[in-house]
Amino acid sequence: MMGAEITLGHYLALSGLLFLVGLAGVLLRRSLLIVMMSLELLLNAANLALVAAARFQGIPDPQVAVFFVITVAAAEVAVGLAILVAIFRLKKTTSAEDFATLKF
Amino acid sequence: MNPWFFPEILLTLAGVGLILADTLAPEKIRRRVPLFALLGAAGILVWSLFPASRVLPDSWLNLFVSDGLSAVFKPFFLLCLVTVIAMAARYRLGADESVRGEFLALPFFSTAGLCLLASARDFLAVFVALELVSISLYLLAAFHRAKPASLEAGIKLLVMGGLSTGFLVMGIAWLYAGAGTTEFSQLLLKQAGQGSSPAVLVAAGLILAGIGFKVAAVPFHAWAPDVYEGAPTPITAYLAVASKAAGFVLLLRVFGLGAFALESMGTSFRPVFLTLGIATVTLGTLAALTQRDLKRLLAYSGIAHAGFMILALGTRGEGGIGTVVAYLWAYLLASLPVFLFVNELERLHGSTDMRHLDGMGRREPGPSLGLTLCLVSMAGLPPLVGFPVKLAVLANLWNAGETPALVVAVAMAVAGLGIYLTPIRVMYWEREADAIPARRFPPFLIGVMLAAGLLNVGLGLQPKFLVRVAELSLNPTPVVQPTGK
Repeated sequence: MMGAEITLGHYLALSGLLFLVGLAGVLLRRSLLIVMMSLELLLNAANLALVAAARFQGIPDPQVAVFFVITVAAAEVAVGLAILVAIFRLKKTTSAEDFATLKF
Repeated sequence: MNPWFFPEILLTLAGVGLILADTLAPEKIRRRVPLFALLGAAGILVWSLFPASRVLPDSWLNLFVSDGLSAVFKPFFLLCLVTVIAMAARYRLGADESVRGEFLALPFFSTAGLCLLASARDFLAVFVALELVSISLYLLAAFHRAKPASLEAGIKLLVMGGLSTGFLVMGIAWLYAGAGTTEFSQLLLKQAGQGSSPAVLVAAGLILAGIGFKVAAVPFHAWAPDVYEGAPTPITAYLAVASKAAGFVLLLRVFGLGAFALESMGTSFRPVFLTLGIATVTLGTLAALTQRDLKRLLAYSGIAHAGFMILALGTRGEGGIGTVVAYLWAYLLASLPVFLFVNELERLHGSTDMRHLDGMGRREPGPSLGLTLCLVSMAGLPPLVGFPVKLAVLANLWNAGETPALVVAVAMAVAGLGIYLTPIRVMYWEREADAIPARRFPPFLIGVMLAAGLLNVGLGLQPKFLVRVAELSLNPTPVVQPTGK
């Protein structure tokens, strides 16, 4: 056996890192497409933690939860992209800087 | 009990039926779709008042529960739906008129999600119900496609809603990792045995952040004013009342009744709630004071009201829970009529700027009086219904000995008077604008606003109804045992 074994803590740390990357993307990026990709990253970070929890706790429930999350993420992206298309038709851009009808 | 008749299922069927009627039915029936929607919503509201509709089949009981809290809030959400449908039927969609049917059908799905949320007792069920609510709302906020502000509101709501979902799902994952379950009563049992593990505390924090977005608590509030201003007015009303209440129902169920309701957990989260509450009430009140757009003003006022409720939650105990329930009902009764009025104002003038109110007291005495009463109720002055609930929040803080929070709450309750007295001042003491529109408010608005005003006065003088509602919400069963009144 070489080195330390990979534990639940390692997975949770990795998923936490991914979550932070996603969070930074949502808060800092200006292109709405990238913001939506970052939102997906948030959910996938959570998915990783769920699958790891299922493996280390020895219960199947979190794996079922992952399917729920994937389904919901798909629905969210479908709606989000529809709104983005409508925005692009109206404004010819999808950058958050280019519309400031409402003060931020 | 036949499971087909629960409000959630009826709502879903009604929504599907409306979409089908709007696409397939002949033109003669299509024109009646708004009427059908209103009748359907009102019918389900009446049905939800009957106890038979609140009993759930056994096979659902691991995910859903039927208790006092759900019995109090299903009619709450359905009352919001009825008002929102009435507003949506009259809202001018302009170039998007062809999609009116969907504009009326989507709130039904969203409300089905809210009713499920009121009954959910597992975080997985919470997650699915919350997404049903949110995803319908993203669409509805962006519905006025020809208007850039509406699209912008939609995308902002989507990004913020997605962020909130991210926090919630991450919290659920940590719960599985730390406790191995997401069912509220099992979570409670596990913590009672061995105390809350650090992982469960992290999970509770993440879930609190997720719900914080929903109720627009500082520092998760930045989306609210923009989205409220840009979204179509009926949807603004829905977001401000129903969606915000959903967040509080969740907070009550999670931190008040189950899952994280243990005393030890309460002690660790008490400062968090009080800090959030103080920040929220202060920012909401101070920002609302300078607003000139009525929808933006209502957005910040909603943030301030959320602050008061979070403070009440922070004091813990059954008193806090009952206070929040009563506060939500009082908030609904005072603010829904105001939104109804703003919807008609926008229909008449094309915008929701406060200058349209100039001199309205003389031109439209009926609606102005009703609006004044509702605004005074929101300000929390006696004898209106907003007063006893605000007093209850302050009494809770007093009993809990939270002096700093109490001082801030009192100061903001007083400063908040300015928010609601400004529109009243311009209505009665401002000179009328030179260009007075020839069109008047429809007669029904006079009746509705006066009735709403009287209801606010009546319940303010006789708050027994709110006390009963608060008591019912703490009941483990959905029906109150008949007691000698």
